[in-house]
Amino acid sequence: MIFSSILFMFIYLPVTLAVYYFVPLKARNAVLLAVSLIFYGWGEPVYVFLMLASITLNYIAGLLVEKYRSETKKVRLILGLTVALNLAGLFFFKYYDFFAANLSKIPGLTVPKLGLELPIGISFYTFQAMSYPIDVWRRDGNVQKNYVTFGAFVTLFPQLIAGPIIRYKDVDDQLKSRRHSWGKFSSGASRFTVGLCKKVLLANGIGRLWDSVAATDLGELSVMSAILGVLAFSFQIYFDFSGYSDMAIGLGKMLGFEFLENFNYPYIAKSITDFWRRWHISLSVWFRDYVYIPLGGNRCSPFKHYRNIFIVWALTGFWHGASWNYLLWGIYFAVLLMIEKAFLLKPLQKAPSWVGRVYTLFLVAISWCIFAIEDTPRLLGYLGLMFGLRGAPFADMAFLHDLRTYGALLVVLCLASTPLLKNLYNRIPPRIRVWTTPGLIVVGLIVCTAYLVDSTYNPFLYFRF
Amino acid sequence: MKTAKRFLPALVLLLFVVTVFAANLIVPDRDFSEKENRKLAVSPEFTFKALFSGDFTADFETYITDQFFARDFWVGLKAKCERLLGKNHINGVLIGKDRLLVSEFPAPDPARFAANAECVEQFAANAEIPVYFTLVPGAVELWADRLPNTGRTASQAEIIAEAYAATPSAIHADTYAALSLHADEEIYYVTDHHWTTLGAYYGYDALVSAMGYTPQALPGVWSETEGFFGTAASACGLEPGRGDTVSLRVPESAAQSVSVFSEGQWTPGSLYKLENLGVRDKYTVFLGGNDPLTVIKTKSTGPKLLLLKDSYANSEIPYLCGHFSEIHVVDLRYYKNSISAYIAENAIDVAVVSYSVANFSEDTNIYFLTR
Repeated sequence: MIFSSILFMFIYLPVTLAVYYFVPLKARNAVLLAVSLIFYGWGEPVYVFLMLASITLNYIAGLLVEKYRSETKKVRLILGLTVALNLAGLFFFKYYDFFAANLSKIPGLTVPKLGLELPIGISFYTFQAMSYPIDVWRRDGNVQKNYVTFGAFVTLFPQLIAGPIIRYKDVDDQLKSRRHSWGKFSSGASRFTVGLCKKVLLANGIGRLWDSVAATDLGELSVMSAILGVLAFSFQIYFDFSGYSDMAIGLGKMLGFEFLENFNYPYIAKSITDFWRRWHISLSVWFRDYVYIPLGGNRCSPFKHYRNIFIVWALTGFWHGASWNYLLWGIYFAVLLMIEKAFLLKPLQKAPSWVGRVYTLFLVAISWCIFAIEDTPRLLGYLGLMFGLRGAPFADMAFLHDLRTYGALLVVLCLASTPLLKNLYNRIPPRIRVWTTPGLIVVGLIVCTAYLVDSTYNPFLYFRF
Repeated sequence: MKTAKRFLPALVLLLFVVTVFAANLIVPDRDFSEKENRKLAVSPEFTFKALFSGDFTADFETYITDQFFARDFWVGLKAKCERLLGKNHINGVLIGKDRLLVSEFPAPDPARFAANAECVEQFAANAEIPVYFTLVPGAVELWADRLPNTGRTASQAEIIAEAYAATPSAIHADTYAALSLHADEEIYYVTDHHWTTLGAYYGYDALVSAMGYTPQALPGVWSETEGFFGTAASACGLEPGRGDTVSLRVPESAAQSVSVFSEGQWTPGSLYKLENLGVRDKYTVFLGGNDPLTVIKTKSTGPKLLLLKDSYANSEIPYLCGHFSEIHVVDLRYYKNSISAYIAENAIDVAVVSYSVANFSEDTNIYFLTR
């Protein structure tokens, strides 16, 4: 199930909230587990069992880690085995076919493909569940003896299929007791509506432009169309994903949870280093805590430090999808980050801020080409086209039409990528805002509903990950 | 007071969601959407098998989206928002000057198109009677100057030239030239993809001229119905002004008898099904819509015509009554028997293949010509 659907908004959400607030406090985690499993199983009911297996594995691992805490060897064995099993599940469902296809390219070797449907959100919840036994071992979180409570943590429907990725230690206390209030619910409602508008109005709207460019033969694209296409995808992926995070955070608040932020205006970043502090924060934090720092982080020899950056970003790339271009995308960022670490960051920080911003946006836009175009020959052709290496016309009628059709939306997207609108809104006196906020929520909900009813065009980009 | 106001965002969201939830429960399900011209999904039956295959959940989502209350209002609201953003291209419909709504026409699949042309060529080459072939251009071509230039519209003139070149055994009627001479007249509806009764007259003119007849003069209008919002209006959700006017020119008496063969039996029909002027899709007034086979006997003495056509021809057929003693109208989308056998059995003298360019480049049933 996805948030931006008629089913979620007008059946699942009211029923879930009614049941959740109707039952006594003690039973709320059980309700959360039940409704989250329905949410998860809606698209692919069989995979509910996979989810239950993941919960059970990590639940038992947590108990064992606590029990054998004093025996280092045993604990290491348990943790190693748990992590291996978690990753094996992820590997099997997400990466098996990729490896099968590539191994089959070796002469004399044929590995059959399985063609399994990717379980929704497996990359997100595997990471989230895996964090638990590690947090218990590090004493960052307490062991959870209640299976239902632990199950509710893993399956928590707001962030189940597209994050933010929650580490166990972030919600340990909230799982036991959380405060429900109208104020929190209200701020959740605002946040949810903002996310819904980002997804339905902005991301879906501009996504059509990228789809049309992506479906055009390279021979028929002009330079400006190609550039406009990349811009469109850059906006689509940001508003799609951050809109989803906003909806998740908003829903979390409606249920009494406080989740960490996942985005902080990444397109105003002044360096790639800065960009990765603002983009998909929960994933970067996860890799920092569970890979980068255990490898030694930056408190080691320069060689190892660079090696760690390389490993973490190659993995980050590959986490996004079972295809070479995602790996390349990760390595691209690893190289940029190493260059910044080595010498570029200091001059960038001294330069006027627009220099850093232009530099960052340019490199990030290139990265989205690598990310969006899975077919390597087309990727190279597309990049060549953008830089005028293929002798394509500079602009054509299709470009002018797209610019005219999407011009107003592009202006809105540019503004919405900066904190400008939010800051302006917050300058309205609070006594007026108490009326305008609910008013805007109603308008936003009505317009989004119109778009949802009209459209079967409602794909979630982050489903594949 | 301050605490009361903190409720408000929560309250409006809850109210909105619950109201819509309740409205959907209360408003009864519909079987058919006239506006979208399709059957709507009904509540799926629950079985564990359907649940675990994922069919139940998928069907349930289609059901609730299809049965969403006041669906037409929401679709119209979305279209108005898009217009507000300055869009002139909504759900595949181009929005032109003077309230013109026309479906876009991107380059068709060349393989499909070539296969269809090849079928016509085989049919014409093997038939023992003369075969005429004509393609009708759409408003997207002849009224292009009134539409936004998307830079992605395929040239229908080129497509017609290619199709004619690929069918040397057929005799071609230049409907394109005839219509483009009159492009400044109201030859197309502004909210529907068909040509008007006037446009159909110019098509008829081109066709019978190619067949060696003298076309009759344009008959006067005897019936006019306003408020026709056609397929393009439905697709984009906009209903500009008072819509189109459907005019009838040839009197019903031009046909002596009309018989419709559908679902295995013959029923009486007519050139016009006048009650359809009261439904949303008023174009179905012509012949009462599309049937597999319609046989029209006229008062004229003339050869027997077999017309293999799409819905464009429906409004052209009344004009043809003056030249043929019988008109056998076949819609290949629904008629699945051998055409050559039909020609022999009914002593057909001449055949016409008439399609709009848009249908001809997409249709998947034209190969029935060669069966």
